[in-house]
Amino acid sequence: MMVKPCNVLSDRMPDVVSGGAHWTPEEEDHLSSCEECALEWQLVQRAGVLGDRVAAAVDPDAMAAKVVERLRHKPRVLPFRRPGWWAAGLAAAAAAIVLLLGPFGDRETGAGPSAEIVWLVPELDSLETTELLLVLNSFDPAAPASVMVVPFIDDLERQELEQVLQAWEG
Amino acid sequence: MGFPLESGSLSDAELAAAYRAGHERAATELVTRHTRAVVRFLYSAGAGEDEVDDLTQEAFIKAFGKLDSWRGDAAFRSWLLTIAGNLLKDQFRKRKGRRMVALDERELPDRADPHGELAAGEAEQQLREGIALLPRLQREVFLLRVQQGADYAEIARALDTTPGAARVHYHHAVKRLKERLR
Ligand SMILES: [Zn+2]
Repeated sequence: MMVKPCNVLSDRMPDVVSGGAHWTPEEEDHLSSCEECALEWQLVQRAGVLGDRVAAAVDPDAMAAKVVERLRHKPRVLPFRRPGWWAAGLAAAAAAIVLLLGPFGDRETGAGPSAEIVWLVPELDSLETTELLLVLNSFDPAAPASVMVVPFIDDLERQELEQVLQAWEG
Repeated sequence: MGFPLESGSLSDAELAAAYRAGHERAATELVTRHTRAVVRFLYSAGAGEDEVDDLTQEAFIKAFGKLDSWRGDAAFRSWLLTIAGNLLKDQFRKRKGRRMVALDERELPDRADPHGELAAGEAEQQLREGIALLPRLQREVFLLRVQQGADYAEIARALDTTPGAARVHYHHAVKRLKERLR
């Protein structure tokens, strides 16, 4: 089967724009005579340099210093490989303990938060947005159990989408 | 494990292993190496210039926080960019659905050259808007392909999809963006 030159050029455009490949004279000819390919080439060229100005203004060393400084103060958490419903449940239980005990530790003694509780709370930030929303929803007494916030359904990860659909289907 | 002075010669996987082993300088090298790619990706995908710095920081913090989940089959940079993409998705939600902040004076070049640079600035803004309005997979496949030169197999590993699906997302993105250029 003969592949259309437009398809060949389209596939090669990102490689040419990154400098990893070059147009052949035949391809150059096609680009100058085919309106569709010329338009696409213009798009790919512009997208290829998009953000260069902003990126050039950023100092990577300064960024590294800021990130490393934050990493130093970030409590180490146990890795949650592929957090799923069980992770959301565990986080909800952990947060419930925090709510029951009070977020600022023992009210009677006035002591600060215990190390264990402080350790549990940052786990919430390892959750994906949807899981976090579900956990937060579970704390809102005004929210019916079935209420879920699902903005931008086309933006959900496949895993998130499966979870939402499973929840809808019971 | 010793940590060489010339950390620039180490691969991303070696640096990730060194960071896990407690070498802070490995994190410094990884951030320095990939900062500009993350910034370009975020800005191109619709992050405001005033949001890019914070989002980039967050992407790295999140990446180091779940470094154990990077299996090393996708390139570190592609994996990192998908984390940045996830943060941007949350940012869009925080903006209550607006995927592009209003045309910001600060994002336009100096008005001293109204004919050349201003027009270029508006064309740039229009392209960013088009990319920001794409569905997430189309947006990320397009930028990984065009800006990072990643092939479909690599993109598929980073986005947990198939090379065939990645190719389809790319062509849908191109089709939509071409429509905006006409
Ligand atoms: Zn053509």
